[in-house]
Amino acid sequence: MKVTCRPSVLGQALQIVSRAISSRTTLPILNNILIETTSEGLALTATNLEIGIRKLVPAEVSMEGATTAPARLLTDFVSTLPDQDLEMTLDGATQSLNLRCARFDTHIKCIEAEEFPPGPRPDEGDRLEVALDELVSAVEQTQMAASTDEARPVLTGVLVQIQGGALTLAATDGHRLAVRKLAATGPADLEASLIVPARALAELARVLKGEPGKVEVIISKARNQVFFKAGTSELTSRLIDGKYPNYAQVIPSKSSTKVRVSTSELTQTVRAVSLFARDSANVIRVKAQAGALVLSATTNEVGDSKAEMAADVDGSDIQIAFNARYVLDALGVIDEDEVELLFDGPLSPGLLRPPGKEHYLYVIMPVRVAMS
Amino acid sequence: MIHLLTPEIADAIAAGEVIERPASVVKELVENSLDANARRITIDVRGAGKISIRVSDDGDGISAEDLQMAFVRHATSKVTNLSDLDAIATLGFRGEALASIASVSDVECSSAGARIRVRAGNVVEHGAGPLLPGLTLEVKDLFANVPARLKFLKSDNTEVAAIKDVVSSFALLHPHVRFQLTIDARSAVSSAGDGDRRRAIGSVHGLPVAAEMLEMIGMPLVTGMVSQPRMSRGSRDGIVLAVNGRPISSRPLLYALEDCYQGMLERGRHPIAVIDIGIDPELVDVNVHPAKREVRFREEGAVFSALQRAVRVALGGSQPYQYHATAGIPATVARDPMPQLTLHEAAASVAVAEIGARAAENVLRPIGQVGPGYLVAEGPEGLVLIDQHAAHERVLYNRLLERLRTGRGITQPLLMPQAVDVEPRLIAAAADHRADLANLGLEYEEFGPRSLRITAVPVEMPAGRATAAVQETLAALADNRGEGAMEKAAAALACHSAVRFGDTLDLAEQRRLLVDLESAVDAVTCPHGRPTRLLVEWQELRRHFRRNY
Ligand SMILES: Nc1ncnc2c1ncn2[C@@H]1O[C@H](COP(=O)(O)OP(=O)(O)OP(=O)(O)O)[C@@H](O)[C@H]1O
Ligand SMILES: [Mg+2]
Repeated sequence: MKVTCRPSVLGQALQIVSRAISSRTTLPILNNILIETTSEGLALTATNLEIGIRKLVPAEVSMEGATTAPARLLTDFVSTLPDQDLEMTLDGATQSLNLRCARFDTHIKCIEAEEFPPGPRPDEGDRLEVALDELVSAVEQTQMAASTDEARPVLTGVLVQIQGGALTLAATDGHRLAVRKLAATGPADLEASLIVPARALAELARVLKGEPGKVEVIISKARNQVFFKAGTSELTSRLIDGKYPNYAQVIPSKSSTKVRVSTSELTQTVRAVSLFARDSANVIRVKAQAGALVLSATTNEVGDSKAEMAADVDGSDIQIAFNARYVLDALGVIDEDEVELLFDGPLSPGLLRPPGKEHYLYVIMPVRVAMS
Repeated sequence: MIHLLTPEIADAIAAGEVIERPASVVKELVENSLDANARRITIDVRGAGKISIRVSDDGDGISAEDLQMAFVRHATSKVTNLSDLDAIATLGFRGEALASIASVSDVECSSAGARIRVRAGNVVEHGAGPLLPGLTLEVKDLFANVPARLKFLKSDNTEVAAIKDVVSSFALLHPHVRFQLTIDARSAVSSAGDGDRRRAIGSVHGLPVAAEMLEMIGMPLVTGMVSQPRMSRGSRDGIVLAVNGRPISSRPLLYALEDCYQGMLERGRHPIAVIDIGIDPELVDVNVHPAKREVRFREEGAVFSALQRAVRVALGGSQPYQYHATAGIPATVARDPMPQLTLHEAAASVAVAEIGARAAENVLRPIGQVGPGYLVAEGPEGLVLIDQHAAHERVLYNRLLERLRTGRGITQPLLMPQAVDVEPRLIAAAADHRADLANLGLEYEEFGPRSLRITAVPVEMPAGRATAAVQETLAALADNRGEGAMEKAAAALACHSAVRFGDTLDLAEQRRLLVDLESAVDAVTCPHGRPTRLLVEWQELRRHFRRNY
């Protein structure tokens, strides 16, 4: 193998691909990155057997070949190189990779490409297409609501439902639920329900960054793998096996109080007031009354804080309490000037959504304060 | 005046074996010296006490005319009327000890210019002796005339250890008396007798232990010292309980003491303690056990709670664990490769936690997180290392106990109830404690014979922890029926709600944890008794880096 490429481009790709490497792997080969020549240049692949990341790097291939190089060392080394032509030559017999660039002449010990697990490749499974920025925002809006409880694996994933030419992403940790719909183009009769590890989706934005507008989503025939492909970048993930709970039943269908406020003002206020909610595990009280939303929190030791903000309040007055973190998580991903809050009594789930829009909703279970 | 007890009184005294082993002889003789107001008691033991035990004191002594009477069974100067037995203020009261000892050995006793020798219960010599203050008594050939008893003695080492324990206990309980024990001409215990209890503890357990003891002062009924949680032992050998200066064995008091350390000591660890209950003799019956080892309190509950109050107040002064470079290892030699230092700095979030009235007095300044789960902070006394899991566990445990106590707290009902598989016995345990569990914030419905449906969790528990938390909490309930079960359950719940060893905490979270830990009671250990923090004193650092000299 003999190729020439630019260290800056290679370095960036190595960094992104390395994200698939688990620091806790017990298989030494999984600490390596697979480097293969292709018709377009170099393909870099890394995997932890759950997630795989593959990137193509433009390169001039003068001799075809493949090997696997230690990810950490190669990435660190390439990032220090000046941005001049880097020539990489593999001695197939010794698996020693020679890197020449400017004044550097370096050899890195590699492992044969055959040792690398032959990860799944997109087969002729079902395909559909979504807008990249839509998908990235949909993931951002849902993924934080997924659980980290390994005892309930399905909840550590984001449910991706495909139906009627649309995608619905949903995630819940049992305390809150986030649901986002987005349009997709693909076979109209395609129906599928996949549970994609939230950890994998968290890498999606980074992996696909800078790629042109569309993402191809490919579901393997066996329905156990999903591929996200855009331009020269690709993320593969194993799917979580299991039955996702029926989340639709916890989405409130009615409300007795409807509030509309400025998103940024509410975010700032919640953040400020929650500083006083330390002892009470981040709990803030929300009071909606005619024309105003009043937020408050108390800690015996720190003091208390109360803030009132102008709001459109429709319906009956209400006092309800939430974990401020869950509220902030939602406000952080609602990119609209205003947000709508719907309540149906102090003990029923509350709903947050961009006003008048149906594509995103976030449900939070309120907390109960016992003062006996 | 020593006189014979009437048969009526003699019958009212708990009868039985008085002298079982050499240590019983030492105990009886030391008690006699203490009853005679001695300030200095010297004990010399040879051949594990089988060859000779010699005790001399500087007490009141026995007058020449009483000397023989002292060796008569049921003859005593300490009890006259039957009613005296209701308020025994002396260690002796049976008039038994000397007679019993003399019946199984060869005793020579001199006091106030007289001398007597009694062998196997018979007076063999009686006449003039040296005119010295106090009394000297030597017991030779113990059990020589009772071979059966001799045969049942344990090894010499064991018998010597028992003697040492007896003398140590008295030395700890009577710091005003100077004790000198020599065993085969070697000094075994030597106390100063200057009234300083800490020094007395130093003479028995060593100075490092003495420095770790917390004194109980100004508390009703109870005096003494208890160890802080950072120092403990693998056995109960370091616990001395006493009533009016008399060492006793009492399971209830032992339990009361160890209960105070609940949540501070790891399983299998025990405190070191010297506890003397100073109580009106009328309120305690010592005439229960032939060897006077047990007592009965008129109001055991009151004594029990007085002891706990005193110990708890003292434990309030506990200090954190401290780092000491191991002696003998040159300070410059690092034994382990240094763990990689990764500081999770998050400067932007610092300002956030700055608000709040306590912040100004917050004395621990977070520096960062190192290794998998330790926090590094700077305090007024030095560098402080914190086990983030243990520390958070302690904070949450205290909050959960508060919830149990007050019934106040915040509960997070679940958006979707969660089924958790549990054994049937755990379901039964949960049912027995339903109200308490609800106080903690844990609510459920039964859902088949092997499963519960969790409907709410404490707000202290992060999402996604319910499965393990519920299983462990209920297991704690099932395994600890009765007293303390709810506390054990709260500890399990705290453990499964706390940040994990290995979680990344940003600087604001670190600061928050430090502030919470600072204001938590019993913050020295986690509820399972593991230390929460380690202090490396400035002085220790100066010493290490040779900045002192
Ligand atoms: N070291 C001593 N100094 C002064 N008097 C002593 C001493 N030892 C014993 N006596 C006297 O001898 C008496 C008998 O002692 P002995 O130990 O046999 O009985 P006791 O102490 O009265 O009761 P007990 O059997 O419970 O110990 C005591 O009552 C006391 O008057
Ligand atoms: Mg006596």
